[in-house]
Amino acid sequence: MIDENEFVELVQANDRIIHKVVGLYADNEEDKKDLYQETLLQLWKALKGFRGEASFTTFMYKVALNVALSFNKKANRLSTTTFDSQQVQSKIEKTTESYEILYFIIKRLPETDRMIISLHLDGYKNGEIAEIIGLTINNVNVKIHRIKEKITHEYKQLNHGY
Amino acid sequence: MDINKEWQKLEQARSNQSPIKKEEIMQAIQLESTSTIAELKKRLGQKINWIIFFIVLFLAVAAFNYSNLGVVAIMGLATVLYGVGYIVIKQEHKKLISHDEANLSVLDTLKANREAIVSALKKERLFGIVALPIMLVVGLSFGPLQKGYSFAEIFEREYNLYAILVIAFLIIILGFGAEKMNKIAFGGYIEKLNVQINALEKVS
Repeated sequence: MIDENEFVELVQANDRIIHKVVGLYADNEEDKKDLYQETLLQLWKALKGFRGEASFTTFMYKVALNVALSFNKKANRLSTTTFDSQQVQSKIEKTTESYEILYFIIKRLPETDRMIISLHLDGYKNGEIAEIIGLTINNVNVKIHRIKEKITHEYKQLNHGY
Repeated sequence: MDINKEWQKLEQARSNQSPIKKEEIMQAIQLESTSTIAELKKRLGQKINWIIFFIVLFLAVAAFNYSNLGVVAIMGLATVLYGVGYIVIKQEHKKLISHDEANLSVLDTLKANREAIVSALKKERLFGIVALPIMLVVGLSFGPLQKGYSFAEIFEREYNLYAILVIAFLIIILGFGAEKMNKIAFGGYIEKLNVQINALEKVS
């Protein structure tokens, strides 16, 4: 059983996972803060069910994704703070770094595709991704292939075919 | 473009974030959840408290009128029906807190969330349909029963029948209103869950 101090240490050592998921799913600073806090809270609550069969980072990733996918963005936030697809487009146009372009292309994908590709790019094997998400390995293989094709296609379009 | 390499570059570029402080973690885990499930859980919790309040009230009224069989019967019936409502709503409340994120897959969690919300709303509505007529009958018959009238005499009175019709109409309107409010509060969320579940299940 993980106690409070161990939990704090584990979160501090791995909070880049939460930052990454929050960054991919929340659009403005207020939503990011809410989602970050909600993820920590749900992680703490889910901890009693953590049997240690998977690593803590996998467990953390899964909880963070569950919270992100279930997260209800506050509808009454000022429109100036939202980060809609037009703003993503304008960010893409302004950036010169290819990794930043990749990030914004991923951010424009459907929420479930974002989850699959981020797990894949973070080095999870397709079998692990299938287990985390609850799909078959074949489904994961197909999904990853299609998402990568889509990303490459969008990247080429943004760079006028290069 | 090598997607994996670009992702690693992105990780490196963002790796200089300062780690979260212990106080911030402790503060976050003591906050109240803002999730839709937590909102519904809170609402069902309030409903459970009201049901308990009414059961205590019905029993108290029956106890104070123990010599009047009509009052005891109507309060006893209301207590039993509210007791059944308590058990049903309590079970839904438990379902909302028992889902185990650590051991369910993301897809199963999404499905569990959807089923828990749909089931809780359905049972809540069902309870409303049963509870309101009980309150109506209790409200109309309590005074006359105390004065010694029988059920038959009470509901033979024309104005009581009109009152039932008017209140029944209001109950239907309230029912539609509650349905509409639930759609506003939870419809979008259920739809979002449906979209995500379908997207994960569909590989065409």
